Amino acid sequence: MGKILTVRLARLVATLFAVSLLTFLLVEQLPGDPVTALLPPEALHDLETIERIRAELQLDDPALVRYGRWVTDALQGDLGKSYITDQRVADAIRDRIPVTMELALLATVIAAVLAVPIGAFSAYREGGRFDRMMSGFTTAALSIPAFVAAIFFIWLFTLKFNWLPSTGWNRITDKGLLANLKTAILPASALALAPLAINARLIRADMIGTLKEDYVLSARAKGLRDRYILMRHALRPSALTAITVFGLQLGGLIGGTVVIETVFALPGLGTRLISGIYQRDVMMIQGITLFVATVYVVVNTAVDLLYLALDPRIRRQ
Amino acid sequence: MKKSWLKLIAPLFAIALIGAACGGSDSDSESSSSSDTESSTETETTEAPETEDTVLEAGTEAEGDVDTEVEAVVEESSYGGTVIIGLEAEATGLRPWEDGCSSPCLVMMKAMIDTMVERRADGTYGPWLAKSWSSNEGYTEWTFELQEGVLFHNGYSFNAKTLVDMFELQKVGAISAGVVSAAKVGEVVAVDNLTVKYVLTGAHSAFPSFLYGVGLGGVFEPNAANEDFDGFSMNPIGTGPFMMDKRDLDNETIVVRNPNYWMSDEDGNQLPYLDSVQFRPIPDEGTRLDSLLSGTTSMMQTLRQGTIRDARAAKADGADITLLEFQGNNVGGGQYNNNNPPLDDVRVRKGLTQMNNQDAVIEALGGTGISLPGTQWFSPDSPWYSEKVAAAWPKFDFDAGKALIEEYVNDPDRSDGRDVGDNIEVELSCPPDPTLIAAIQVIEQLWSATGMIDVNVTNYDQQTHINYALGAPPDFMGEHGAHCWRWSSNDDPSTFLNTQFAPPTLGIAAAYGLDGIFSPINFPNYFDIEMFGWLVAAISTDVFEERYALYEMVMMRLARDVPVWYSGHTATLLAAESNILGVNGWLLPDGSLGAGFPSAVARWGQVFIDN
Repeated sequence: MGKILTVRLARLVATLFAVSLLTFLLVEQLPGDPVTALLPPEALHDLETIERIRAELQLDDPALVRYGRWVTDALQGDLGKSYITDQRVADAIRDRIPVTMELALLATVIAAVLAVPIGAFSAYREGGRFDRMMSGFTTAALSIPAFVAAIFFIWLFTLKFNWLPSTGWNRITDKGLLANLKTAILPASALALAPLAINARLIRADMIGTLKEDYVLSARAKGLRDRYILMRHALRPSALTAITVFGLQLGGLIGGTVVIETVFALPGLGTRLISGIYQRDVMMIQGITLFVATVYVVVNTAVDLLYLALDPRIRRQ
Repeated sequence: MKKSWLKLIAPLFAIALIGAACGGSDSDSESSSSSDTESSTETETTEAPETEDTVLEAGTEAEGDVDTEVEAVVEESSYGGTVIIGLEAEATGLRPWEDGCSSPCLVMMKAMIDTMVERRADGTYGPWLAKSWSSNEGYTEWTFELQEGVLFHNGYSFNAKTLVDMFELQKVGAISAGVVSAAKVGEVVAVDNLTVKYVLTGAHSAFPSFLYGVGLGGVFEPNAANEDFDGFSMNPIGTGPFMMDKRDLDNETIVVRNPNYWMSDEDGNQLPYLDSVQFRPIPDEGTRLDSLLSGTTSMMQTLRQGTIRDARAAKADGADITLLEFQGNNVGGGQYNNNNPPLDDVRVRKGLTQMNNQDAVIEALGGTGISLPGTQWFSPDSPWYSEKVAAAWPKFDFDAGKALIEEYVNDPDRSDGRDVGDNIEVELSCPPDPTLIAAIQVIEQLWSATGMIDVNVTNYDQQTHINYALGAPPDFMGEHGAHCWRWSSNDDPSTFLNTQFAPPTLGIAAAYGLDGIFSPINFPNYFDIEMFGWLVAAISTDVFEERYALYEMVMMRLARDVPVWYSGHTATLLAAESNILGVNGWLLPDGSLGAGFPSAVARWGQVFIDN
C-alpha cells in the first residue's frame, strides 16, 4: 500500500509540474506584449512608461527565470498578483472558490439524488416503458451541451414562469441559504444534466448484472420484497462504481462551471478565468489554471486511493 | 418571446465551437481614456437653467438608423428606489488614473466620479466640476474656475490643490500618463483656492475635451488614493452623486446616494433622486436581455446590434421597456497594413474596398435597419459629418474593384515581388465573434470570387488581435494584413485622429523632421505629411468652420488613399423598465442639455423612477 501511495503521489506531482509548465509556456507563446495589453492606446507612445511597467512586473527577465520564480512562489501559496487589477491571485481564488465549489457540489448532489433511483428502477424494469423513456432522456441529456440547457432553463423558469432569477448570486453569508439556493439551483441543474445521465446509465448497467447474481435470485426465492432487494442487496455493490464516478466528476465539474458561470453571470472561478483570458491577465490565467488542475488531480488521486482502500482485489493486482 | 431561447442557441453554439463561449470584453467598447474635445470659446460661463416643460432636442436623425434623439425630461421627478443594471462586463478597476475603463466600467464610474467638464447634446463641452474656463491666445495655458462647496465622499473639499495633487498621480498613472502626454500637459498650477491653470507644452485648442474623459478629467480624492493605492480600486472616493456601498466582483456592486452631493435640479431639489444603483456584470448578451425582461434587473446596456434587434423584438412583443438607442460615430470595418505588400499599393486597397459589399456585411453583423453604412469617421448625426466625403468614399462596385486588382496583378513592378499574373495573397483577420466571422466570410467570398486573390482567414482572441496589429516596441509595426477594427468615437476628432495618423515609427518621424513625434497606434501604418499638417492645424484654432474644413480634408484623403475600410456605425442601447426616466434628459449645471447616453453610458445623478 505504501508503495502504491508513493507512486500515486509522485504521479500527482509530475502531473502538476507538467500542467504548470504547459500553462506558462502556452501563455508565453501568445503573440504580443503583456505590457502593451495593459495600457490604453494613448499611453503606447510613451516608451518610458512601457519600460518602467515592464521592469516593475519583472517581465524583462528570461522566461525560465520567471517560471522558476512563479513556481517557487506558488509552492509557498503565492500565485502572484494580477497585472490588470493588482489583486492577489490567491485572494481572487479564495473569494470565488465558494461559488464554484457550491455549484459543483450541488450539481453532484442533484446528479446523485436523481441518478440512483432512475438507474435502479430502469434496471429493475429493464426493457420496460420507464426504462425506454429514461434511455431517451439520458441520451438527450448527454447530447445537449450544458450552456444550451442553461438557456432553456432561463427561458422556462425565468421568462415563462418567472420563478427564479436568471442571473446573480446571493451569498449564503449575506442573504441566507434559501436565497442562495434560489440563485444556485438553475445553474447547478444545467451543470448536473450530463453527470446525471452518465451515472443513471452506469448504475442501470451495473445493477442489471447484479440483479442476475445468484444471491439476488436467492433473496427473491426467500420471498423478500422487490424494493428491499433492490435497495439493500443490489444497489450496495453497484454503488462503489457510482461513488468513484461521482468523485471523478466533481473535479471535472469545477472546470465545467466556466461556461455556466458566464451564462448565469456568477462570480466564480470560471468567470474570472474568462475575463483574465480576455484581458491577457497572465498571472490570473496561470494561477487559476494551476489551481483547477490541482483540484482535479488531487480529487482523482483521492478517489483512486479510496477505491484501493475499499476494494482489496485491486490492491492485490 | 416564445422562441427567444432558440434564437440564442445558434450563436452560443458557434461560440462554443470556436472555444470562446464566454463573451466579455468587446471591441465596441469606447475607452474612457480616449478623452474628448470640442471646446471652442475663450470663456465659457454657466447659463440660466431651462424651464421644466421645455423639450430640447439635439442631433439630426438619419433615416434607417437608431433613434438618437436626446430630449429633456418633462415628467415630475421623484425620490427613492433602486435601479439594477446589467452590464456587459465587470470593471477591472475604478481608479481613473490607473485602470482601463470601457463602457460598462464607465457606467459604474460615472456614478461616483465626476469629471471636470461634460459634453452637451450638441457636441460642445460644458461645465461640470469646472464652472468656466478660458485660454491664452496660443492655447498653451488653460485656466479653469471650479465649483464651490463640493465635497468628496470622505468629507474633504474639492479645490484647486486637489487637481494639483491628482496630477502627481496622473503623471505616472498607467492610464492617465498617456493622456497627460497626448494632451501635452506640462504642469498644473493652483492660482487660488478655486482657480487652476493647466500649462501645456504645445498648443491644443480643444484641450478641455481631455477633461471630459476620466483618465485626466475624472476627479478623485488624492489623499485617499495615496493612502490606499490598491484599495481605491474597490472603494473609489469621488464627488459623484453616489458612494460605494458594496463591491462584490463579478456579482454586484452597490452604490448609495451621496447626501452631500453638490448638484441640485433646476427646481433646487437635492440630487440624486435614486436611493441606490446596483451594477451586475452579465457577460452573455441573451441572458442580460432576459434578465431585464424577467425583472431580475431593471435596466441593461449593450453594444451589440444583434441584441438591439432582439430588444426591439421584445418591445414589439409587448415588453414594457424603453429603448434608448444611440448611433455613435464609432464605425466598424478594418485596416489595411499599408506597410506590407500588396496592401502598400493603393490600387489593391481601393480594389478590395470596392469589392466589399457593405450592406451584406452589415446584414451579417445583424445590423440591418440599425447600423448605418460608414463612409467616414463620423455618423450622419455628428456635426463633423461631411456629405462630400460620403460621396467620395469608394462604394461597392465589384467590377471596378476587380479591375483595380487586375491592374496590380498584371503590373510588372507590383510591390509584392510576385510574377505578373500571380494571385495576390491577403490575410483577413477578425476576433472569433460569431457575427464578425459571418461578416468576414462575406468579404472573403467576394474577394475570392475574383480568382485573383488568395484570402487567408485568421481569428485570434481580442487581445491577441490587437497585439498582432500593434507589433512590438520600439517600432510597433504590426504584421497584420487586412485586419478587422473599429474607428472613431463621439469625442473631439483631435483626440483620436491626431494620434491615429501621426508617424507610425520614430524613423519615419525623423525622415519628415518630426523627431520624437510618433504613434504606435497608427495601426494601418499610413502616414501622409500633408494630412498630418491638417491635423496639427486643427488643434491650433477653435473656429468650428476652420476645424470642420480641416477634418473634411483629412477624410477626403482617407477616401482617396483608403488605408482603412468601413462596415457600419455602431449603435448602442440602454434598455430600461419604462418607469425609469432621466437617463436621456440630464442637464449640465448651466441648464444646457447633456449628451444623453453615448456608448450606452448613463449619468445617474438625474435618473429617477416614476411612481
